[in-house]
Formats: sequence, C-alpha cells, structure tokens
Amino acid sequence: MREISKQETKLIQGIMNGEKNAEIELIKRFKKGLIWLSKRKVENDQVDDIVQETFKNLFKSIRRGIIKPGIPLKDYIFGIFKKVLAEYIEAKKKDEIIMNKDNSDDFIDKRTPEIEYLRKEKIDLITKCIESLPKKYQEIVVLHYLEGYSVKEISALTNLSIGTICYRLHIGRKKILKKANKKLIFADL
Amino acid sequence: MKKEKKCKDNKMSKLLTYYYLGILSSQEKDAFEAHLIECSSCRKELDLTEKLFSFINNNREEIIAHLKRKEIGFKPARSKVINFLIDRKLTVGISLLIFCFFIICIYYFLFLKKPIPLNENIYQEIRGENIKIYQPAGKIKNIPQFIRWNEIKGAEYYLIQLKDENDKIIWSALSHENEIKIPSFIQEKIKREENYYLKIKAFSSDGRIISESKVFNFLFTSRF
Repeated sequence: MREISKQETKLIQGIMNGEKNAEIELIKRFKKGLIWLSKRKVENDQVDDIVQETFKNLFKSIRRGIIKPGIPLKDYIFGIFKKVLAEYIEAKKKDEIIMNKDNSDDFIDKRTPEIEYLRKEKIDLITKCIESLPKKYQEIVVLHYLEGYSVKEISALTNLSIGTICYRLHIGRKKILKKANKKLIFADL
Repeated sequence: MKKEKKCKDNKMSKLLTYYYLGILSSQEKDAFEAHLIECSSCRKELDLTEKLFSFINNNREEIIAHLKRKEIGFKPARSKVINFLIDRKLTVGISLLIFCFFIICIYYFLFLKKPIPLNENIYQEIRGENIKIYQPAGKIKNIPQFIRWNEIKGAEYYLIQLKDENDKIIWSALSHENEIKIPSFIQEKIKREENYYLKIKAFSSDGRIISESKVFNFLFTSRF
C-alpha cells in the first residue's frame, strides 16, 4: 500500500507542475474502472461523457490544491464520480417521459438447437456444483438463489442469525465460482 | 503490474458477496465501489458472479427439477440414524473408537484372571476330603511294612501308587481297607538315602474318584 501512495503523490505533484505524462498515467490507471462502474449505472451512450467529466473535474481540483497527498486517490475520484453521476441521472429523468422503448425484440424466439444444448449442459454442470457443496451451505444456497427466499425469511425459517446466513451464502458463492471456473463454463454465459 | 494478481484484501471478497446480495449500508457500499475503480480482479469476480447467478435465476426451475430428480433417483430414503452417522462422521468415528477401547479393556479385565477349570465341582469334592497318610511319613529308620491312611465315607476301594525319585511308578495296588501291606519284593527295592513318593486315590462303587491324597514322601535313612 505504501508504494501505491508514493506513486500517487508523485502523480499529483506532477499534475500540479503541469506535466502531461502524469496526466496520461493517471487516466490509464483509473479509466477502465470508471468505465466499468458507469456502465452499470447508466446506458452506454452516456458513459464516455461521464468519464470525461470526472477526469476534467479531478484535474481542476488537483490544480487548485484541494486534493492533498496522503489520502488514497480512489476516494476522491469516487466522490467526484458520484456528483457527476447524480447530475446526469437528474437530467435523464426529464427525458425519460418522452422516451419509450420498443419491446418488439422480446417476442422473437432466438433459441436454436445448438444454444439449447449448451444451455442444458451448463445447467447440468451447475447442478453438480451445487450438489458438491457441504450440506449446510447447500441448503441455504438453494433457498436463497433458487427458491428465492430473502435473507430475513431464511433466518426465520432456520432459526439462524442473519450474520451466519450471509457468511454461508458467501462461502457457497465462492465455492461454486471456484468449481465453475475450473470447468470453464463462463466462456459465453 | 499488481492489478493482474488476485485481490490481496481478504475483506473485499466478503464485501463482494454482501454487495451482490444488497445488504451493505450506504457507506460500505461507497467504500466498496471506490475499491472497484482500482481493483480489476474484484471487477472480474463481480462480473462472473452476476453472470452465473443471473443464469441460475433464469433457469432455476430446471435446476430445481434436476436436483430433485437426482435425490429421488439415486438416493434411497435413509433412516434418521444413518443420516446422523453420515452427517457427523468425525464425532461418530471417535466415539466408536473409544467404545471399542472400553470393550477391549473390559474383556481383558474379565478374562485375564485365572481361567475357570471345567471339572471344578469334582476337584472341590476331592479337595474337601483329602486322604492323609499316617504311615510311612518323613524319615524312617526301618524299611516300611504297612501303609495306613484315614478312612473315607462311601469309598469302595483305594488305589495306591509308589513312585521313586525319577517319577517312575514302582508299584501300584488296590485295597478295600484303609491299610495295605507292602510285599517283600517291593521292600527289597527300597534303597537308603532316596526319596519315595506315595499317592492314594479313593473310588466309589460307580468307579468315580471321590477323594485324592497329596503326594507324600518318605526317606529311609540312618541319619537323623
């Protein structure tokens, strides 16, 4: 962690001195994460705008001297990103009333025999993964992910505390992911 | 650089699950999202989990059917005891080991004592009424003429055996009374300074041993 903070202070000082290389390096570092995060929150068209604006605001605040070295840079970036995102979402709400999605695509059946076969194979593998779990994890995983009970409902059903159920779900998720990763069923889910 | 490797923060994988479940508080959520900007491995993992569990969610009816079919098809219904044994293999195993150990201990305590003889009753009778030989006994000056012993109730006849030092029977005889005369050819055989052993058994009329004497010895000697 110390190395990273040293690098960050170097970057911040470089930007304050007006070096272009430092700016490029900073953008390289956080670009992927920001794009990924904004894709989850807004539609694809606005992603680039949001990322650009956050970097713009970041450089501004660095040059003004608001950001001090010592505190991790990711927290600053996330704060700026949140503000930008909130503005965009408010602007989008006004347009949403006018926009109307065409749902015509949903009614076309895209399934072919090949895709159907692959799907069945994946289902088989996943059932094997779930079966291989120890019983106490398996019960709760089945209850939550398959039967659709919420955590509170499960705690009422099984007389376990919410903490233990969350922990068991966590372990179950990890084990299933590990096994599924080994069998490479994620190639095109 | 380091981003390609696994996420070193162990807390984060737990937070990831909770983030996916949607039970984090807003502060923790912000902290985790800030971490996501930096860490590529966590991003990958979250993508994978979302893909996997959305797939499971879409096909959950089929998966449930698969699970149930396997339960019905391959696992015959077990009793509660066997289920308990399978669930807690370790505890059951250890308790079984201790149980076996105790059984072995008890077995040894019971049977390492002296084995009980089969014909105990007969021996008890015999030991109860031992024949005592009055004559000859201990050191004697002259060559013995008679052998005498105490009378026993219900005895039909007695068997007398005379042995020398090498445990060889020199003479044996039957008598109906509680004394017998040693014949002269046996008297000649008895030498000085040598031990001789006498044993007498009493028989009833059915031919069963009623009583038995200990081994008595006598010594024909001139020294006292």
